Amino acid sequence: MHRELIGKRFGSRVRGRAGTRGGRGQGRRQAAGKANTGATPGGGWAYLLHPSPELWTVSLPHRTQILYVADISFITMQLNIQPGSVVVESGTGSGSFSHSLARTVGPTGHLHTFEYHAQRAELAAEEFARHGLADRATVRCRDVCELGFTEELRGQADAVFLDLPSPWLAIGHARDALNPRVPTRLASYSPCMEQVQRTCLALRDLGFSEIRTFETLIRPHALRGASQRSLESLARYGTRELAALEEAGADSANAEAVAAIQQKLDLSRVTAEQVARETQVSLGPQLVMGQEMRGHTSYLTFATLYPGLWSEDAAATAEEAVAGGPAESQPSAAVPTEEQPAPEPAEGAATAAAAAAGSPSPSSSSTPEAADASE
Amino acid sequence: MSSAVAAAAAAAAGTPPPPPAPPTAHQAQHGEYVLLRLSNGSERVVRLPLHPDEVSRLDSVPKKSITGGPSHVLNLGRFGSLDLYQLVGLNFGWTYERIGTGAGRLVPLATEEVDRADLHSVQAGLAIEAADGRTSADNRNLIDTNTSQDLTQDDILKLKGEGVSGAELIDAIIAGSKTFAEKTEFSQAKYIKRKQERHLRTIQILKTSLMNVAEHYYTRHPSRIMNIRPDTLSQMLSYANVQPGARVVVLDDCGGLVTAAALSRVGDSGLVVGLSTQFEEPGFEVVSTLNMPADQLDRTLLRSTWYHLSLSSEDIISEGAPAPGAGAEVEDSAMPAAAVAGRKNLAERRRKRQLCRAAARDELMRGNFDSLIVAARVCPMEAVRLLVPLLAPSRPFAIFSRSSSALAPTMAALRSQQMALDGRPTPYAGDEPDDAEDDAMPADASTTSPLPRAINLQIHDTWTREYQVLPGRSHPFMNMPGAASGFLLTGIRILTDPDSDAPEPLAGLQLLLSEVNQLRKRARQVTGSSTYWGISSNPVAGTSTGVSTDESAAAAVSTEEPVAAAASTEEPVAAAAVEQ
Ligand SMILES: C[S@@+](CC[C@H](N)C(=O)[O-])C[C@H]1O[C@@H](n2cnc3c(N)ncnc32)[C@H](O)[C@@H]1O
Repeated sequence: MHRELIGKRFGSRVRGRAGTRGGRGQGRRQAAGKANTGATPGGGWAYLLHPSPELWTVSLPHRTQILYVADISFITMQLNIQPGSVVVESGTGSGSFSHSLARTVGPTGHLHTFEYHAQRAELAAEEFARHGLADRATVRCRDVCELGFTEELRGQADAVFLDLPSPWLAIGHARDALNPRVPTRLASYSPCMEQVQRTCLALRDLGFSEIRTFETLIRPHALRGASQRSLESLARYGTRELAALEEAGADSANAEAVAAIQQKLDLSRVTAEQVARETQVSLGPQLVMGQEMRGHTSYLTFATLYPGLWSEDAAATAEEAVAGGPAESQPSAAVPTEEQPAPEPAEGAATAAAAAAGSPSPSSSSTPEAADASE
Repeated sequence: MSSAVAAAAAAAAGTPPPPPAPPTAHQAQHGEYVLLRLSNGSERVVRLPLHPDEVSRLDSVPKKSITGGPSHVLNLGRFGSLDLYQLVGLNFGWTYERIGTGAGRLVPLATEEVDRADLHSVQAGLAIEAADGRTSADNRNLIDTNTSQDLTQDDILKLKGEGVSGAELIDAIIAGSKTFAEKTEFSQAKYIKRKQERHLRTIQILKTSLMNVAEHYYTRHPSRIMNIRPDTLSQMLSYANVQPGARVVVLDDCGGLVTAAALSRVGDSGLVVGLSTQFEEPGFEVVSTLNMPADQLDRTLLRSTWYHLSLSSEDIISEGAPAPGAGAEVEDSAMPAAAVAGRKNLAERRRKRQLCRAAARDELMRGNFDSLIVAARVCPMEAVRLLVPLLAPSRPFAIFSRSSSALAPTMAALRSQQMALDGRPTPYAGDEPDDAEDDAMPADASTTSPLPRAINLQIHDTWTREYQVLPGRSHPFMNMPGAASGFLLTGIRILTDPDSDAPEPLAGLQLLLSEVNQLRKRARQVTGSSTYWGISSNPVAGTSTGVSTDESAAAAVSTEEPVAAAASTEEPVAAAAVEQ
C-alpha cells in the first residue's frame, strides 16, 4: 500500500486493503505522508495527509502512557514555547509530546529530551531521524533524578518539562538547566495529588514563583441523527388509520388496502419495534456528549524562575543577573534602597515629583475598578 | 517609518541616534509592554514610556508632549497613581512595595515579608495535624470581635501618616492582636496575608507572554476576545498545526489575540494574514502587547479587514491618495519643521497600511495556506465555504464558536458529503429535519460555492480547572473565573476531487472577490463617488483635514491599547507610541 501512495498528491485517497492500518506512514514531512484509513476493515478509503504532531499522537506506537492534545497545547503555551526556544524534557516515553515540542521550537530551536529506559531512548531517536527532526531534537539516555541534565546544558534552557514518577527529585537539576539570566518556566505532569504536593513544595523551596496547578480535559461532542418519540403519535397510534379505512372501505374493489389498514388498527397484531419506529420524530443531526471523554489525565503544575529570586545564594545570582543592566536593585532588600535606581530622564523625574506632590493625573479620571467593571 | 526619515529627523533635531540599549531581558525596558499585578488584585497591561532619545527620533509629535505631562502617570484608583518611568529597569517577577503618597517610591519587598504570608511555608506536618484537629492551637476558642485588636483605625492611619513601612505596620497590628497567638499556624499565615492585602501596596511587574496576556484578557475583558479561554486558544494553535515558517490565515474578532498567538508561533519566517470584520482598522490591540520586534511584524503580519478585501488592490492603494497640489502644501515653509515631519510620517504610515491591505488581499488570492483559524462573529458555514478552500489540501483548520449548535450543521454537511463520497451510510441520512431547506441566506457565492471536503472532523469543548495545592489542604479553586469558553470545530481539508490529478478549482472567496470588484467599479461609475458603501475613507493626505483625521484615527487605535489608553487618550503622544 505504501508504494501506491508515492507520487500521489496530499489530500487524495486510495483504497485501503484489508488488514492495513493507517497511521504508520512515516518519513520526512515533504517526502511522505500519513495514511488515514477509513473505519471499514477490509478496504475502506485511506487519505494521504501531511504528517503532523497531532496525527502522530493519535497513531504512534505506545511504549508508555502519553500526553494528548489538550495537555500538550496548554503546556506549550504555559511554557511560552516559541520558534527558537531551547526546551528540556524528561522522560521521553513514547515521544508524543516530544514531536509537538520539536515542531513548535522549529529549526532555530532545540529539544533536549532525556529517557533512562535505553530501548525507549533508542526508538525515540530513530523516530526523530525518520521524521526529519534529528537536527532539532536530541535524545539522551540518562537518569535525570540521579544525574541531572548534563553539564553541557547548564543555564541553557528556556523551559523544562517533567513527566516523571518523582518529579521533585529532578527540580534542582531543572533549575540548573534553566537560563539564569531571563525569566524561565517549568512544568510538571503528575496523575496524583500527592505527587503534585511534593512537587509544589520542592518548587517553592528551590525559589520558583507563580506556582499554579491545573487540570484540563477535552470533551468531544459526537454528531448523531437524533430522534425522539412523539407523545401525541404514541397516544394516537393506530387511530389515524380510521379515516383512511372509511375512505378505502367505500371502494369495495380495494380489499387488499382495507386488509392492510385493518391490520394496523388491530394493536394485537403490531410489534413493539413497529410502534417505536412509527412514532419517532427526527430532529436531524444533533450534538451529543461523546463517549471518548476521559475523566482525568493528570495535574499540570507550572512555575516561573526569575533571576535574583532564588532562595539559595539569591544575592549572588541577582548580582550576576543584574551586571550590565541599566539598573541595580537589591534582591532581598531588608534595607530599602534610598532612591529608585531606574534611569529617569530629567522630565520624568520632574513628573514623578509632581505626582508625588499629589497632583492626580487629569487624563485618567476613571478608577481601575470602574474600568474593570465596565466589561 | 523609514530609516531615512528617522535619520533626517534626528539630524534636524541635532541629536545623533542613540546607541542601542544593551538587552537585559530580565528587566523592564523603555517602550516595552508589561503586565502589572497590584496587591489590590487588579492587573494592567501597560506600555512603558519610550526612552527620551528614542522620542527625539520620533518626529511626528512635538517632543515635549512625550516626555512631559501626565501621559505616563497611571491612575490606579485607591492604589494611587504610578509614574511609568519608575518601572523602567525594574526586575521582572519581583515584588515592589510602594512607599509614600502620590507616585511615591518603589522598593523591593523583603523576601521575609513575602515569605511570612506564604501558606506553603507552613510545615506540612503541622498543617495536616491542624486539618485533623490534633493541634494544640485550634480555633474553637477563637472569637474575633472588634475588641480583639488593640490598635484603632485612627492609630493605624496615624502610623501610616508617619510613613512607617507596610511591614512595620503589620508587625504593629499583629502585636496588637489578642487572638493572633491562639491561631493555628495556618490561620496566622492567612491572617498576615489578609493584612498584607490591606496595608501593603505592592506591585509586581511581569514580562508579557502569550499566556499571561491571554489570561489577562480572559479574566478582565472576556467580551473583547469572544470569551476564548487560554486553554482553548492553545488548542487552536495545535489543531491548526501553526508552526515556524507556516502561512496562516486568521479571521479574528478577538482584538488580535488569535493573530498574536499565530504570529508568536510562525516566527520570523512565517506569514499571518490577520483579518477582522471591522470596517476601518482590524482593531488588533493585543498584537503589540507581545513586544514582537517591529521589523519582524512588518515581515510576518498582513492585517486587513474583510471589507478591504472586497476592494481591488489598485482601489485600496489609490484610496486616500494625495490630491493634486497637496504636495506643495506639505512643503509649506511657514509650517514648523516638526509639523511637516509629522504629516509626512502620517502619510507614510497610511501608505504602509494601504500596501499592507493590498498585500493581504493578493496573498489570500494565492491560496495554498498551511493553517486556518476562525475566531470571529461569522456564520461557520460561510467561513468554511469561503476560507477552508484557501488551505492547501491536507492542511488543518480550527473554527471557534461560543455555541455548539452554531457548528453542528456545518459539521453535519461536511460529514454527510464525505460519507457519501466514501460510500458509507450517514448515520443521520434521511434524518434531515423538515425545515432543513429553509435557509434565510440569499443564494450568493457564499452559499452556492461548493462546500470543500474535509476529514478528521471533530467538535469539542474543554473543561479546565485550577487547584489550590497546599499541604493537607488541596482542592479545586472555588470560584473559577467564568467556566465558559466555547467550542472548536476542527478538521483537515482534502482535495476537491480526491481521486484525480485535476488542478483545484478557484476557491469561493476568489470568485466572490473578483465578482465584487467588477460590481464596485460599476457602482462607482453609477454614483461618480470614490468611496464605497458610504464608508468614507480618510480624506486627502497632506491637507490639514488629512492630518487631523489621521490623528483621530490613530487616537482611536490608541484608545484600544490596553493601558497606554488610560495614560494617553488626551495626548497625541500615544499616536506615535502606538505606531507599528
Ligand atoms: C509517562 S512516560 C512519558 C510520556 C511522554 N510524555 C509522552 O508524551 O510520550 C515517562 C517516562 O519517563 C521515564 N523515566 C522515569 N524516571 C526517569 C528518570 N529518572 N530519568 C529519565 N527518565 C525517566 C520512563 O522510563 C518513561 O518512559
